[in-house]
Amino acid sequence: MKENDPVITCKGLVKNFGSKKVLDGLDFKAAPGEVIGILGRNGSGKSTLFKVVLDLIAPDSGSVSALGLTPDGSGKLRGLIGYVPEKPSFHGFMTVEEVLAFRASFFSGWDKAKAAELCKTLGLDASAKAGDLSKGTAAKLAWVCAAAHNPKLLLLDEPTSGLDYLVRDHILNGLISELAEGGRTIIISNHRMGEMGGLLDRVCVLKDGKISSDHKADFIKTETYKVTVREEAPLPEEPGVKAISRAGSVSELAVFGREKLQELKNSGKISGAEISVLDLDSAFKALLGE
Amino acid sequence: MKNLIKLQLKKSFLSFAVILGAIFASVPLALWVKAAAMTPREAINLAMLYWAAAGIPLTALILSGIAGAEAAREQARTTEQPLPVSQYGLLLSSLAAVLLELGVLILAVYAILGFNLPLETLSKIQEEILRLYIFSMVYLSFYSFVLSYAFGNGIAGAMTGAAAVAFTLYPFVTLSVFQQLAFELVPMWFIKPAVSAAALAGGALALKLLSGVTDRKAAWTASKLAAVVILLAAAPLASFSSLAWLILKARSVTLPVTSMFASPYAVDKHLYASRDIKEASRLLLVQRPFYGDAFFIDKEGNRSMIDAGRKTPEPGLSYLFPGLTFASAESVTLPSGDRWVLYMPQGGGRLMTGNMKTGFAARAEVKHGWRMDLLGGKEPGIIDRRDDGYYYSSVPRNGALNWKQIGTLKDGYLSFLGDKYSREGAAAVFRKDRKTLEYRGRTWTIPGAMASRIPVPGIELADGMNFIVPAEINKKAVTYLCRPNGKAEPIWPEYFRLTQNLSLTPDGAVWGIGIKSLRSYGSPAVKMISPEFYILTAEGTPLSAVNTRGIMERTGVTNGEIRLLKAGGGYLWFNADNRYLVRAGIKNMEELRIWRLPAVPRKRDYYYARVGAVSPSPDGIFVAATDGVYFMDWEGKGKKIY
Amino acid sequence: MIKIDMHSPTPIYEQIKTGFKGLVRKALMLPGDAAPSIRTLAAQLKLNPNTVARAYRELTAEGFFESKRGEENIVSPKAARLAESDTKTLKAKIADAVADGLKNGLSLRDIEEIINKVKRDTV
Repeated sequence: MKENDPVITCKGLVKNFGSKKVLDGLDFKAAPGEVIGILGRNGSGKSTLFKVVLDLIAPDSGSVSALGLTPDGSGKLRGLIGYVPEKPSFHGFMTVEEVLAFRASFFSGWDKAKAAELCKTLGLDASAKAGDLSKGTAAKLAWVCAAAHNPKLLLLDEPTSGLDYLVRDHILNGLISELAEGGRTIIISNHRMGEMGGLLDRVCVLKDGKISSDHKADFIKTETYKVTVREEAPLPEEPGVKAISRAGSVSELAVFGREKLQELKNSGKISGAEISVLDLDSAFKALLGE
Repeated sequence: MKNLIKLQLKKSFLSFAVILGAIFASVPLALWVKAAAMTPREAINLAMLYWAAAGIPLTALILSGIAGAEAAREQARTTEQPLPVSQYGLLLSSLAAVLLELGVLILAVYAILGFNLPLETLSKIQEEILRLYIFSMVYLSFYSFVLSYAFGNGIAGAMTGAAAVAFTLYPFVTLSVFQQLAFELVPMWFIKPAVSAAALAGGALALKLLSGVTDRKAAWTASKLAAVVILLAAAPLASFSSLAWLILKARSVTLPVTSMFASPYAVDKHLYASRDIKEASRLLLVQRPFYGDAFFIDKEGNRSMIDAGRKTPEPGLSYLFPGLTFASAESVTLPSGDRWVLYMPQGGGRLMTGNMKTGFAARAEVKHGWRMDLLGGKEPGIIDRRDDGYYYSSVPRNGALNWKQIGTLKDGYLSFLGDKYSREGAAAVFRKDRKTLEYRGRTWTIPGAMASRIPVPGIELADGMNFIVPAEINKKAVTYLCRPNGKAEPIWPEYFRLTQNLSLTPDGAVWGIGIKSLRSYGSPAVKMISPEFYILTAEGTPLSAVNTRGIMERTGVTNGEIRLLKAGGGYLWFNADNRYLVRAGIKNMEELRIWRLPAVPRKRDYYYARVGAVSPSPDGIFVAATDGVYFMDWEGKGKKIY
Repeated sequence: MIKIDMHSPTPIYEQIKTGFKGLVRKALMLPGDAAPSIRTLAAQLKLNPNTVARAYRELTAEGFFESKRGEENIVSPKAARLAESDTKTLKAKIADAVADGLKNGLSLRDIEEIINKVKRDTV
């Protein structure tokens, strides 16, 4: 794999579960060092996409390659990826220490010292039984398992949903730490992206089995606007413009892109409107509905 | 992989430990509840027998059913599949754990039995039984695992797994039993590994396909489903096909009908010698065990029925286990060409007479034909050995059998026989000095003769009636030939007696095998047994210590199974192990012509059988082969005559 | 220390730079002080370390940070001046404009209206 080859390439992925089309010709690329957020509603196929990349599910058609390897069912690919699943689960009869020792035997890059240090930082009790862990503790353990073998690619499936502030902080710090090492590519899937805003380079929206929009994080932060305007009739939606809410004759719109805003201003459709920056959560919400 | 297996073992440790504990606990339990008459060892063996027959198979089903069903659950997927091992590998590790546990349990039972199967009657095939048992348990566990995984349900998997194994083993065992009892028609050396390979490979591949669908959520297609079904059904199909193959082949098997319970004085062997043997051997009495029929056949293939048998095989179960009928018979040939046949099918027996042209008809029913022997000569008859003595009847030309006692069991029937031979001019008698042999006025003096009480049967050679008499001179054995010209000459430097260790060929030669070379039979140190032949040709030429080493080497028949078929015209013809017809030059035993014979069902003819699968006749040899009857002439040209 | 506004139109790295300049202006950081490591600041602000790295790179390029005795990102002596001069120039510009307006007949109220409109329009 050459220096600048994409870390993940998906072309035309199709996956049906019975009659339900979960992935419908999905294309996706991740460059080395990128931090990408995959935004999608519950059940939109984010986990399925990850599992295809991880060589856990066979796509019906389309091609996948990750870290220069093609998934072949042997599990080799999984040894190079750090994966935090949506619902981490461990063998209940093992202690935290045993879980880590067990994993160590499978991953060639496992760093025992790093694992121990991460446990300390996160405050994990090595003798606690895996079956008795709280959701937050399990999430921390899952993070240690994913990061301890220094993988070049990390896939995290809803890593902070349902966790309290402190655990979330730990996870985010862990991610930042990994990024600071350099050479890591991180893909995070979530159905709410707000708290990740500062880390992401790019946001892809997974809708209807495809990546429906793909924006740089900066763009979403700096070039999304909330336009509050007084209208007799609702403005027709066009690409880049989405209605947020309407109360009587006052409507709020989300506008994506400085150029789009300028275009609207020039057209005179939003004269007299109040223009402000759109907060991240609303921006993501609008993207999902777009 | 090792760590995975260790993990799987840990997961199922509880159920394994419980069962292991139960096995050990059954020892004191057996001792406690045993019947007073049983020894402790017997009680423990019985308990272990229950385990082996029922407990272990059930355990196999339980352990593999649980493991398979669990591997299919979502829980396994989320916990273990993210590990960098192939999903198929995960399944195999789970299966390996089950097999290891089962292995330990079987070992525990075996250890309690003292590492020895208490099956005295089956001790010869103990190793075979053990191997079959272990294979069955592995097969059972494997398929229960795969099917439990396929259905996601341990009970469904266990039941279908058990069914598959039963369907494979039943024909398999039937095959083995049949071929042990009857004859080997299909190559078990190929079938056994083929069925085992089909079972293991079929299961492994089916599991891989199933993993693709269940774990990797690939779609079911019709071809995938068909492949899985075919792979799992491969072993039972292979097994049933082999049985069908066997049954098909069994239909065409032919065997010589011979007497299985010989006594040395019965016909066919040597008395009424060359002439009778010659005529008698022109026909072979053949049976087809599958159909139960028997008939005489000549070298052209003309047949004359003795027993019609059944035209079609028995319906129903016999398709699964071919029913075979074996008959035995003796026959006597009269100078007129007519024959008397004592025919004994399974259950019953009858005395028949006739010839090839007019056919054969029954003249009397006989019970216990196996106790009887036919006698030939001028007055054919039957000797019957009953509980209260020996009885004799001449054959019923017009009417029934007329039995009269000829001796008690203690006295035997030798004197009666001797008188009969003498009356018919077929034997010579020793004078009271036990040195002089007398026949029709002619006498021979044999020094050191080992005279017998009974008359010495004669052999018709080219120059007339000759007599063979063994003698001992200076502690050394020597055999004399008393010729019609009055001379008694030593012919062989070993002990031979016509009624003991000599045989006759249809062309009138007499032969036996030297005692020294006979001793090498059964000796484990000897790698190749090559018997030495002592021969008297029909022309009257004696041959001593004819060495068959060259024949053994060339044909690879190292077990010494070789018989003389014909001696004449400067050549000797041998039957090597029912596999080769060999012609050797009398002057030079290395000058060999070797012809391959058609395959016969039984490699070894019955020890007492007078007629073997390969039987000589004046113009060539009959071969009762696996697929029919052949006739081969003395130049090796053979053709199928039935 | 530094406050990042996710919703501001200003790029985050710019905000970091402005933040440091503010700290120096308020004398909370003096020349010779070391800036927190990239990793530490990123963890604190929940930012991608690359973003912090970029801010530090540009600050170093501008001369706000310097490397001294093998350590990087040390506040340089010029820092205070640079921070001030930035603000000074800006403030001067605005003062000029207001003065101009007043000179040319705009009332204070007009100027306030302009400020408000600019506030609304310039996002």
